Amino acid sequence: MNVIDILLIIVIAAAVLFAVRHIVKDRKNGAVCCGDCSRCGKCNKI
Amino acid sequence: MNLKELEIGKSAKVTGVGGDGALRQHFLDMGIIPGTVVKVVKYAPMGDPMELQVRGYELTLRLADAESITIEPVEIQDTVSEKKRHKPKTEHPGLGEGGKFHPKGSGHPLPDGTVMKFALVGNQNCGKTTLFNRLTGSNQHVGNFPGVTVDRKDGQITGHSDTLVTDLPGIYSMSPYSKEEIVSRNFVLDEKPHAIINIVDATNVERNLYLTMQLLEMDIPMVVALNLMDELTANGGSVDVNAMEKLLGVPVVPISAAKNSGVDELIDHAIHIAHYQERPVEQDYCDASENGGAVHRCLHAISHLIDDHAKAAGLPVRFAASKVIEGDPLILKQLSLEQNETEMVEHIVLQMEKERKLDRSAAIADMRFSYIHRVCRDTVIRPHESKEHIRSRHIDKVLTGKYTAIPAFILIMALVFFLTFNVIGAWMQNLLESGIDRLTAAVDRGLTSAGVNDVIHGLIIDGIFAGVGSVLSFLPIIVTLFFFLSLLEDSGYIARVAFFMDKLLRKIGLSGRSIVPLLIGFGCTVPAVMSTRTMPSERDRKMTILLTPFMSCTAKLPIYGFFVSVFFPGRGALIMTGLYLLGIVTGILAALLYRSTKFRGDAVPFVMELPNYRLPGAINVARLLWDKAKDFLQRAFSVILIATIVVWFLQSFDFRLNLVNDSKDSMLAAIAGIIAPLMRPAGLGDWRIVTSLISGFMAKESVVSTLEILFDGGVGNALTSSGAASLLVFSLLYTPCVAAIAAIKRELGKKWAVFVVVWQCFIAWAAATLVNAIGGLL
Repeated sequence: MNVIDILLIIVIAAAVLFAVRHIVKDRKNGAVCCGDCSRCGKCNKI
Repeated sequence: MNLKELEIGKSAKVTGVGGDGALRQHFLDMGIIPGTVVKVVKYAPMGDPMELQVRGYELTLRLADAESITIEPVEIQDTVSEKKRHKPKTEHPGLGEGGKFHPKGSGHPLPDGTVMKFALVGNQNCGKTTLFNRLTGSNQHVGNFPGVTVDRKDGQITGHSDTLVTDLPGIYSMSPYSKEEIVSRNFVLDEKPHAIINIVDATNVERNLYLTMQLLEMDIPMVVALNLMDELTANGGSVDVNAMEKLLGVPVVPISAAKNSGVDELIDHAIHIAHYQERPVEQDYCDASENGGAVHRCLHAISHLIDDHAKAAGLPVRFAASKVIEGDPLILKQLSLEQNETEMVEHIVLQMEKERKLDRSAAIADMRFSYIHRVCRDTVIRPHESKEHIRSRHIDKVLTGKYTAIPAFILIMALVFFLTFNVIGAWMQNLLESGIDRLTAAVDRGLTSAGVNDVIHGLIIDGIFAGVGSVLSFLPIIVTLFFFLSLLEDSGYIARVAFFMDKLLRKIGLSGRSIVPLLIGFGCTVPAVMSTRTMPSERDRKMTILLTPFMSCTAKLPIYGFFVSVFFPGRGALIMTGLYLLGIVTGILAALLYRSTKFRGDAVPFVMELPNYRLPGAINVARLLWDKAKDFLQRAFSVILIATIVVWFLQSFDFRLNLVNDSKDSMLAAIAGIIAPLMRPAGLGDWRIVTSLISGFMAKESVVSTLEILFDGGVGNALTSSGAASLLVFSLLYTPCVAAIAAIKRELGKKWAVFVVVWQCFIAWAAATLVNAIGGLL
């Protein structure tokens, strides 16, 4: 395993972490419609 | 004589409105009361429903309902243009402005730091969401058919951090006819906004003011925004704003939400009345001298009688009294009157009915419309027929014509699909695909020359690039389809489709209004499910929700495109159209099954307003496309990226985390292998296909990315053509994604959500098995 391999692993791991964070954040903020508008309604907020 | 018997182009005066319950109340609220003049414009191509002109707007209703409205024919001149009257100038009442209505510094201002809550209330399709976007700088979706907003939306007025505006679904009155009307009414009654911004369509003041009258009864600070003033004045009409302000007792501000004129003045007035809690100037709309004053006496007697109950229930007395007379069950329950009081109310109302010679609901509606008539007579100069209306009439000769409506609809839909899948979308997709291929090749070469580890190399090229790249290339097709759907919606055409498809849909137990959610379902099931809230009947709503998953959503396009390019090249449009039609046919069969089992009975009456055709706003369309593109890209680089990495990992390693040479030995093969035998009759027994279908439950697009990883581009050798056809049919019909199921759960509950998952999977399996069996015979 060379330096580029390690760098690539870090970049991929960071991308996955970023994607997971994005999904979790979206769910919390309601940026993604969960369909439960009466209880959540967050995607309707600006 | 009844309305059904009236010929096209003839006018008549309504003498009685039959029927009962919420529908009758809805007719009255829409302005069909004894004395109203109506004109039959046309019948739908299949002979039912009919289009009427009433109080300056177009309304559709079924012949069966028209039968319950009795009429007497009258001769009415076609021209409605009015000459400008010379009236004395009305002094500006200065309501909602500091220093005139009440001296600066007086009043009862809200404490500093209070967040002022505003409710944006108005009729359907009068521009509420456009105004909401102007007020808040938001980009909520705007459409041109009644019922775009189905749930409340909140936002802050730009530059005023201490405000919160709520955009409510469009309603015609405060009577609870449909679910969206209940949402709006409950918001105003229960959440007690500090002020109401009542948006009124200036081109149709008479009908719009009916809701205004009821809002005034709520005794909440209110400002009236007269929208579409530009359209009114351009067509020779005008409004004496000062006089209207004086008569209504609330500030009236002329605006054009689309052109952003008058909005700043509206904000100033709204903030002022909310801050100082300036309530409507108290007025008695029921004239004591009109028709012997029967309604006046009844309303006031009941107001006194229920005063304590209304206060205890937190309801405005005047509003509660009129609702008690109408017999509104929700308000009666809230008031919890005693037996004696209920009987007294009944006696008072019976006496009023006897004296007024109208039943209770019609008498109250008539009282409101009489006041509105006086307001309009003194303040409004009607325009000549607007150019928008003339244009709509001409277009409707073809698009809703007896012999042209259905062919035009088929032609328009065929053109949309042809342009999307064969011309514009396909061309852009090829362009993007070649770009992604070149990038993949360049990265591949770079990684090879850098001597990157084979496993990491495989993850990047065979996992991420193959998976995410294959999904990304479908962006142009999805955006193109949304572009056409939004054009149809914004132009006002979808409302016409509901009009002429009503009779056809009734044959399968649905109403014409069901067509709106079903067409939205071609875009995405989540908003389609939510848009069913505009439907007044619970039975129709449930049935429509259960049918939306049969309409193929855009997220399934990557699956179709992927298999068509491998197995049926050159026949893209044919296969795609065939799949869409199969979805529709299966939906029809399911509807017939539902109608004869769980959902017996007929669909509820079809009463809907037909808006004028409007040119879709470029900004509105561009905004929608940008939102869809952004949403798709975000999904590709979040959900799809993670799914591809997980799938790559599971198919590259075994349970001991050893790298496998053949993915058959991987943990993914072992897990998916358990379900695979179930799918064998459908020709989909390959564990890789089972895996991709399971991943599709999270997001449909990931079916393609998973296949791309698992088959390493060799799916063409792993499946026969009949297997591919079977997979396409299965993908078309099987369970909608998790977001859509969540929406169904929210609307219908957990049981129905689980039912949809199981039922759709079963139908998909049965249809795919049939396709596979037929394919085997050929």
